Amino acid sequence: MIDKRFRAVDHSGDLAVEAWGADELEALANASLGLVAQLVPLDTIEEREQFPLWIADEDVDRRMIAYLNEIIYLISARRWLPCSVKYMTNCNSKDCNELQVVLGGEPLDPTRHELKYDVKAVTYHGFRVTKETGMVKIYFVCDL
Amino acid sequence: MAQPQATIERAGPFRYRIPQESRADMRTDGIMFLNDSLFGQLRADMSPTQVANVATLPGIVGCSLAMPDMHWGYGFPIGGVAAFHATEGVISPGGVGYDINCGVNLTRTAVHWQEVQGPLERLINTMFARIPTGVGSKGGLRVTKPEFEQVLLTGAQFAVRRGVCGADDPLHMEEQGALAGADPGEISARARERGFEQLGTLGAGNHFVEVQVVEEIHDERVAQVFGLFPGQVCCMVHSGSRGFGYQVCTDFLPVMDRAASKFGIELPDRQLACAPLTSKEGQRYFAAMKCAANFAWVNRLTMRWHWMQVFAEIMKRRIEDCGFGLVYDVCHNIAKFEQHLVAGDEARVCVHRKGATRSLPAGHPLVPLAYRQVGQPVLIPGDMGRASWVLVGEPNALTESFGSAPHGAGRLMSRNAGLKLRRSNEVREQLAARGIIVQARTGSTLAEEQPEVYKNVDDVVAVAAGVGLARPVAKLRPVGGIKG
Repeated sequence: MIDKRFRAVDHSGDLAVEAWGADELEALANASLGLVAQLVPLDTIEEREQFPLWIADEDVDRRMIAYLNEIIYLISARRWLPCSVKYMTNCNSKDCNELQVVLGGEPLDPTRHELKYDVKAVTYHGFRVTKETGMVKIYFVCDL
Repeated sequence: MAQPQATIERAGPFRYRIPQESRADMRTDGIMFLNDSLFGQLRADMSPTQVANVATLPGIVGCSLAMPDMHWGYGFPIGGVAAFHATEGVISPGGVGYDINCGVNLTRTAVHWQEVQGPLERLINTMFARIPTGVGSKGGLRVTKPEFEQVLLTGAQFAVRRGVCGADDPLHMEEQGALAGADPGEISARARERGFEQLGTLGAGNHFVEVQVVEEIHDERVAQVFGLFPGQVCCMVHSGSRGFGYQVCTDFLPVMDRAASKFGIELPDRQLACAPLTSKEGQRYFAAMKCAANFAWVNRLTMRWHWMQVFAEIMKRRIEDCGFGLVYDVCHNIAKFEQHLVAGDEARVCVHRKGATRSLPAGHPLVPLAYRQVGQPVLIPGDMGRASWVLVGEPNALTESFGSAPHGAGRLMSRNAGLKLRRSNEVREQLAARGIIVQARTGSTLAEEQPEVYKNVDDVVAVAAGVGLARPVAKLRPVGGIKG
């Protein structure tokens, strides 16, 4: 368990987030929660439902960015707010390049949730996964 | 990937050059149209590196260009312009942006400012109540699923059929408000889902619907042709393709990223993912991008229509007695095939404008007939507190910038810096003290978008005029507006 899972980073025009984890998957799970937290406080979202996701792409970075963009789509189009990552695994084999995720959350309730930003997308620009002091760090930038 | 710093040298008045030889991967020079002050404001901004990055793309013709309002973007800088050879060049979503056909339209009225001063607050409040704004706003124009397909295919023509604009309004729009070759078959279910309910909605961030007054006329003859006079009330709508366009870009970036690998295109920044214009991938993106462009035109026309209804109601006049006229509608984020002079010869090139306005001079066949004797209106929105400008295209734009001019003031500070500078309430009060009434849906918007986070649009216009990209016609001051 780590003290700090994610933080917003000041950025010239938009919104950047850093997230940490013991491994890549934990960092990615925290990145997605960090993304949601920039839009609406996580503690206002209740875990009433589960939502499964499958993201297939042979390129690891593209797969991670696609997952984060799936979070944007869920919030923007489905009006569904994730607050936890119940399950996340990478199926990495010759025949399978899939990220399998189960999110916990609830439908957006306008009486309790006000979205702070209209996030266009998580960009490829500057996206990076690095190792720092035994932790994996993911840095990404959102276009607002 | 860390980019090598590009060498920058002054190359004459209003011109800084990034020589091709300063980076091994550049195929051409970068040219930035700036004065010393705007150049100084770039400081730690990485946009010059992005100008250099664009210069590495295959099939680029002429130079990689940046307009005076340039600042950091994704892939291309904001304010970036580049043209690509029709058969050897590429198309890049990073050269268009997520908000495909984000742009501006300007509507004139026959009403003088003095008549609006009294009911101004009611006008702004009613606009705010009627025009859907803010994150997740919806319902500006309800359409059926078959109608939505028509929006994507026919753009402004759909708006004419739905009665949200007049039959001759498309004549006063770039590309007459519709790009041919849009293919809804290239649109994902996700993009449809994200955009279906967002037609006629403003969105958030820097988008606005603003009531403006013509404060200064700089070119009497052209102003007359554009139907502008001192003291006149106008309305500017600044918005784009909303979630629909964002999702189109999101959907195609991985496609283009794979295509870049497939065609052996080395990219200095993955956000510059691109595909040859002649490739299946390139053509698919182009066809989808056109759908988003057509969506954006209907989006802006719908908000304009809502504004016209509100204005007539508040002014207690019939619509036909308000003297409404669409001055023009311009794209700020687009890729299009255009005819330009390349090394002295006419050539069909794919011009990417990302945060730039098309600017065509008098006599150009793409200028609407009504304006052909003077040139195309170039609309440059400013910030909430200073000014917006109407310029007219100049011949130099064709030789210097593939018929392009700046698109705004250009951001100077981050949103967080804005939040630290002043709270939204203070911004609202300070603007009100200057007679500018603003409404915003989200608490932090006014602080994040306050005038001080932008460069002074007058400086940008001065450089555009200095280079001869466009000539000032009228300065418009804001008197009130709504934001997301």
